[in-house]
Amino acid sequence: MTEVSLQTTVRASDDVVVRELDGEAVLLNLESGMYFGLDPVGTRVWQLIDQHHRLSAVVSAMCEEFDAPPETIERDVLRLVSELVEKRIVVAGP
Amino acid sequence: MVPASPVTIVRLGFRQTWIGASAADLERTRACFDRDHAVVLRELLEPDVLAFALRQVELDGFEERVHDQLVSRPVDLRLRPGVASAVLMLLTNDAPFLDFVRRATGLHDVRSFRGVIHRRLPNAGHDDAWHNDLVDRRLAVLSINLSPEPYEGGVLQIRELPAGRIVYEFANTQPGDAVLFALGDRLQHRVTPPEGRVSRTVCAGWFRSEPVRPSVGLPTRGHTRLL
Repeated sequence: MTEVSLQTTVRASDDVVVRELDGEAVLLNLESGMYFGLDPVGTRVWQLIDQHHRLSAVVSAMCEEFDAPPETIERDVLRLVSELVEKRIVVAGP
Repeated sequence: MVPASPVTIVRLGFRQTWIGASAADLERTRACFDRDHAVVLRELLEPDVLAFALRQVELDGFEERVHDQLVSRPVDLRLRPGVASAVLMLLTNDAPFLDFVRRATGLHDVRSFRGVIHRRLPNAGHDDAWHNDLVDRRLAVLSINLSPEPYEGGVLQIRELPAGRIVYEFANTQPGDAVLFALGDRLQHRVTPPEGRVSRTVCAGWFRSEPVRPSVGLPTRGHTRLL
């Protein structure tokens, strides 16, 4: 699993096509041919990544929107983003 | 017969679906669809999507499919599941495009699109029978031309019953253009065999009233291989 932290910035890979179908994001990596489907919470994370790029900002926004302990949100966001980096759906920056 | 929609009013891109149709354009398109049972969507695929699809179709490869129900048992080629099919299913199921289709056709129950990419070879005896496709909650047909160069033959014909009079004929030979046409119990359609030397390759399928995810077979979460 790729290491990411709150200081990591990420952006969608140029090889990824994204659409929201029935309110849930579907990401297709054109290079690998892999789909990645996100549930509504994951879809919101994706939207916030697109908006903020830096994961600390993503986690802050999620904490304001969702009634869950901050540490749980942080863990879930970092886990999801690690997987997205691993699948080359997002690219991690400095 | 002159197809309507001589200008580009909707485009499917990698980043987004572009809807350029004004209210008047939509009204004209709807009137055309009602009158002719079909409309042509010029340059439906953005150039980079078209270029990608043309290239990827050859990489994904075809498999033979024999039409046993037809007397001549013609063979056409069906694209193997892969990136080309997947990306087109994703783009054609984008909410703004489905909304455009609902408004352009008046078919308010449209909720998803599912199609396949297939290729018909010239002079392979592919005599299509008249049919209406009225199964499986299908509401309308979309056929996107993925032939790299203009082909001969391959004319879409629509006829009205009971008279059997052909009311629409169009060969969609421009790569990336699409034809959107109606289904109905008083309508039948067929495609004439391709002629000459160029194969006819299209992504063809149906707008349906079924929701997107079960229709297209997408996962609700996690990752998966292609369809």
